Amino acid sequence: MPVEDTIEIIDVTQEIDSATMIVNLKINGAVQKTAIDLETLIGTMRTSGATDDAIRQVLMEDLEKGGRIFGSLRTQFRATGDFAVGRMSNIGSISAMSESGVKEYVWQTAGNKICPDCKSRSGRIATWNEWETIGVPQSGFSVCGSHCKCSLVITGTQQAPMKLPV
Amino acid sequence: MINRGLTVDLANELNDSAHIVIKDMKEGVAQSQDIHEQAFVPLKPATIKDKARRGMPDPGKPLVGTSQMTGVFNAPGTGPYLKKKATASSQLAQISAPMKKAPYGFHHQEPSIEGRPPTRRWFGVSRTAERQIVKNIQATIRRLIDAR
Repeated sequence: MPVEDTIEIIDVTQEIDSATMIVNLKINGAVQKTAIDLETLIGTMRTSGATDDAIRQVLMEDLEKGGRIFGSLRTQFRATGDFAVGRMSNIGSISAMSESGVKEYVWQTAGNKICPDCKSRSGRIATWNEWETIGVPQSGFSVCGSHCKCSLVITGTQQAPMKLPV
Repeated sequence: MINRGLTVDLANELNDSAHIVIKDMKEGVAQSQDIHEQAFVPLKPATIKDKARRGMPDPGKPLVGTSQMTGVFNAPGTGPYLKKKATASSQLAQISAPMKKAPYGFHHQEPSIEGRPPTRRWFGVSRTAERQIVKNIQATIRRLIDAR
């Protein structure tokens, strides 16, 4: 049967059952930082004699333009969303690889700034169970936390740290 | 008088955001678009024929079948759902896919080595949803500042 005529058959396996598909929407850290920044800004402006209207105007402008105070709120929101999807993507790749008989995986670093935790694992080979025990990429174990962009790839396909577009 | 920082509880906005994301995912599938707002890889003629034979609605549309996975077109299946609601003390909303009823959702989401089925990333946060969420949160903060 030609490939074009095959039906997309989906084979559900045990690995998939244990996988998670979750998007986390979390902005708590950023909210706390924003609140502190606000207190500092308001305190400074108040000391210098600014009126309520002037303070309100500065805050509104910062909010509209994604400035120093409210800009971080947006950045943090995006980071946590991407993180959860990234983690999901990693599990999916591993599941697909293990179905094809891959037993060992190598740590592939990625990103423009690689944290010491991930750097120490770059190029290291281990089985999925071993990686799961010590922490898989993007699981939050490393100091880079939600910013981790590393992944596990098939042995022999590892490259120099992948640079991400700025 | 504005003396201190604002007390910011965005639990309601987070839950609203989760619903925006869920709605956006369903709309994406209904329009045959992935979370990067690119068209899904079209179905093969044999797949369309098979889906039609099984009486599935819109057999030409990828990822639309029993509705368990994506829950589009007000079908009985739920599709992605709000798994954990944000509260004042836990500002985290979690969205999940129906992994028990439709575990194959994972296969569509991630590339397989054989390339079958083709990757169709239907689950995630699109830029459209993100823009809408940020707009909503900004509107809330604007109201908080105005009320001071």
